[in-house]
Amino acid sequence: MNKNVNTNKAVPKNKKKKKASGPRFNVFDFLIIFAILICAGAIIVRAIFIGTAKKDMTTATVVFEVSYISDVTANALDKEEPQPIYLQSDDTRIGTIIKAEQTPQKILEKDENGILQSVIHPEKYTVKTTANIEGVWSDDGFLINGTQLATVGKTFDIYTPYVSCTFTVVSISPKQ
Amino acid sequence: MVQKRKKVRFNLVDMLIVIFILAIIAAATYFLIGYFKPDANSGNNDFKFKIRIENVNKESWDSLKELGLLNTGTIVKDAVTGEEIGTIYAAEAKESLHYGGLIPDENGYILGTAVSEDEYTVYITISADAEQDNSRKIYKVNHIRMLIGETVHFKIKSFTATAYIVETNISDEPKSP
Repeated sequence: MNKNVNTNKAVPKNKKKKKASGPRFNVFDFLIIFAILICAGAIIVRAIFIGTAKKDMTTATVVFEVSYISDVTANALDKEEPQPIYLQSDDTRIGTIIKAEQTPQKILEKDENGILQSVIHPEKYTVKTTANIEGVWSDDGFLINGTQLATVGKTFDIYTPYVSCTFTVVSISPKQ
Repeated sequence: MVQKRKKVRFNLVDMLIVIFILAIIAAATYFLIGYFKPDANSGNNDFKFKIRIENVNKESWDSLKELGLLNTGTIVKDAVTGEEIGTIYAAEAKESLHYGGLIPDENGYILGTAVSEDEYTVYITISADAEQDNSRKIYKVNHIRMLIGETVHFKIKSFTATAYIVETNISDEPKSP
């Protein structure tokens, strides 16, 4: 009997089994997923915010002013019938002009003694309009259409069915 | 010796990126279709509007006239987009007025006026195809709202300027010579 016969089955030298191949994640993959989730979350939050704001819509009385305009522009603003106002940026209607008042434009010029004198410009006008504007009152102030904060001094590029111009906010108050 | 085919590996991250890009393309397509969609109904293919251009150099204006570039029918384009707006119907120039300084009068002071020696204020009437937005009752020419005060980036051969609309929906008036 041959004592040196090895009856055991051959065992491979490399006993480690190869791992099954599958998805491999690295840091950049996680960063991409994170960025996509952030974008999706921001869109959802914005949609919820706009939806909530629309429920709280109310009307405010806003006085706007537009200065140093020609008589043609001033006459186009100063109409008897109420005029709808739209934002130039996205064509959304924000309210209605209910009153307009046209006055000659005053400017300051120095006289012979260097003193500023107020004089009327013969070709320019200022128009003050009162409008009912839709929006939401928030802690920061009145948000036009629930999205744009209207503060005294802020300008808005608007248009009506007759004219396109830039309004400056003079005052804001709840509609009486 | 048979070479093994490389398997294309497509994992979750790739899928997310593809979905995200497709969503962006879909949103952009939706907004672009809305932008280029013609506004509701009626149009006017003989719509006339007048623009004003201030402080035009007199020599430049006179040379444009001599070259015939201000004649009726000259094509007008948008200087920013390059799109055709319409054609010149009429063009006239007035000497520019400048205001400044004080002149004493019986009530105090009035603003001094001076006629410019080398500048014109120019008025150009343009004939165009306009579409009307029935919901807002305004006309548009190539997305330019036909409203007083609206900016027009005026361009003809050899001349561009920023202009403002001063009159819209004009009925026939005498043409330029």
